[in-house]
Amino acid sequence: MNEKFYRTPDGQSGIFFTLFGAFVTWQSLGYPLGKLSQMGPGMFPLGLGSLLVIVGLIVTFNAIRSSQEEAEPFEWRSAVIITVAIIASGLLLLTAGLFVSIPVLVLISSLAGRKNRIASVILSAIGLTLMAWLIFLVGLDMRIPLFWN
Amino acid sequence: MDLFSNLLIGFETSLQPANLLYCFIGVVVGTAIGVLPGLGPLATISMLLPLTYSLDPVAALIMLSGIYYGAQYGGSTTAILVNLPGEASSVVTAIDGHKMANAGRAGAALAIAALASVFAGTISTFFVAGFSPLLAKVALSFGPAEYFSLMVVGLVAAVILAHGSLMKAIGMVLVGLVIGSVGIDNNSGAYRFTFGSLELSTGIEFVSVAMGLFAFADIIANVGDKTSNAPIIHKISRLWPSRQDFRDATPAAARGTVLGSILGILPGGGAALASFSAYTLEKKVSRHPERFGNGAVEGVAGPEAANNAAAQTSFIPMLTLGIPSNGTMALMMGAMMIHNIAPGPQVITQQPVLFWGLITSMFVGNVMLVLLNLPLVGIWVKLISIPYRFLYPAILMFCVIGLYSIQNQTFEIMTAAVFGLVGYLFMRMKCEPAPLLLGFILGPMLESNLKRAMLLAKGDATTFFTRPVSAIMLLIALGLLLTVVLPQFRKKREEVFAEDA
Repeated sequence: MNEKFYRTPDGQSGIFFTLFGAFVTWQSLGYPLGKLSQMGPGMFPLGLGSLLVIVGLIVTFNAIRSSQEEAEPFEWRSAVIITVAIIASGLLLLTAGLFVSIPVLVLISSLAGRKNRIASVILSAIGLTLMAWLIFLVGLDMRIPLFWN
Repeated sequence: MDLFSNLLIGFETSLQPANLLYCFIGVVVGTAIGVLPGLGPLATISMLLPLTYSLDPVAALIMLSGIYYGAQYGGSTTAILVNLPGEASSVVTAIDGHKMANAGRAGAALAIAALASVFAGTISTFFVAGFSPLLAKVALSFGPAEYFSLMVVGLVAAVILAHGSLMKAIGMVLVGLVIGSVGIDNNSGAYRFTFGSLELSTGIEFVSVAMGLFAFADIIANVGDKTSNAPIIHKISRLWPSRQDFRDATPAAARGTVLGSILGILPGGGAALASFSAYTLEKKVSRHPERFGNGAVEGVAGPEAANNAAAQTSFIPMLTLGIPSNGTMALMMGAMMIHNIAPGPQVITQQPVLFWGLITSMFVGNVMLVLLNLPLVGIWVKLISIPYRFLYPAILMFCVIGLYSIQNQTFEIMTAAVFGLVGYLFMRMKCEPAPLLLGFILGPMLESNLKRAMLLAKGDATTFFTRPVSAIMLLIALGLLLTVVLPQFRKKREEVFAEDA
């Protein structure tokens, strides 16, 4: 019996599968189910959702019985910084242009590294922006604004 | 001979200067990205996929398969030189290859790996060419019930061969199937799981899923690592292996080719399984098993031949049945669908130029790999020593622009960012993401075949058991599941994956 099963990788995945499965089941009940000979849009997801709940419960149950070690600590810093960097550059790509979006991507994501020096970060921001321009705009003829209008 | 006239059509296509050039670019770029520590074929292909959008389908596929072989070979180079295998299939190569490098024989190990790969690649090209039309002919007689059961077999096999817990792998396939059902339902036109988003109504883009799970998640996991210094790389002095090396390696490469070709076709099989099995086989047949783990040439030649052969033959089920047998093939199939080609038995007859061009380009790509890699190995070594802090912003840049280029909109960038976070969570929960990708790709087909089979059978679910071919396949799926549940097999499976720590 492992009382801290919710801290182990298996326990967490079991809980995730169960909850996700329950959500899918609940959602698919809102779609027409149809008959077996004429399945509606809800039938297939309903099956998947219920199977996921069963699988999730089995995984959780096994995790409670086993003595797996706790999962590694969640890297909040890296996860937040990298995700924000990607979303920011996505938001800026068409509004502020390539020459803003890529430097922003490089600058924000560099905060996640531990040993970055400012000079080398600026250098790689300039280098990667030029590379993106040469490969994708000049080379592959993609349509992305360079700057805001 | 039918086979030779078909191969002739193929070579007419693959030897065209433009296609040779795309194959060349694919192999070079694939190797260049593949040698970077930590980037396996899945991440490499999803990152470079956008480069092929503007090409015509034949050229795009030729370039993509070049990228695939290049990435795989690049992974072996890194495994040998710095003991940092980028993917499961080069884990085995690292065992003896890196020991050889430690003993000052890095050059010989690299050359043996390259020669074994091209040897296996050449033979398995003919295997693919001979076997695919047969399988396609059989597949043409399949109805929806057979297809449904076949996909079930594929998914079950993928689950069994996934690393770690069986139940978790089943869960990941189910999650993939759910994600694949997002968007408008083909039959009824109902919106499913779109939550009012217009962009989600056409479904989630598979490149977003792949890049998020394989590229972004990996960066999140590794970027904060305090120990990520530049790896120590061995000097390469003499490239050419000795006579004794050749004598040891040739039979191992031959065995690896046969084993890899067979394992590649099986659903769920592929490069990783093939190289593990080939290593075990070599150890068993060797008169000096104690040499393994201490720099045995056979331990490099066998697995390298096997993983290359399997990489090629795993195209067979994808091209002829439309059923990818592993994550990489799921990605290749997604790439084909972007170019409006639906893989399946009709491809051979309807697009012979594409089909045979692709198969012969496998051979061309392998020859290029050797011609290119041995002289260029110095450049690859320089690439390996690029510090991670320069690498990951470049990967992010390629991914962001690549994601935009799919539909010329930024929505895909946002979904990929979400899948990056989700993928990182899966990593922490020790859930392998490849079965999810497979479920995602197969989901819509699985559902529509299920619906059609049930419609034809007027709602009678026994149709899957009364149609003989379908029943046999479901029995195979059941048998596969039983092998895992039964204790003696279960132990064997854990042994095989225990080496891949």
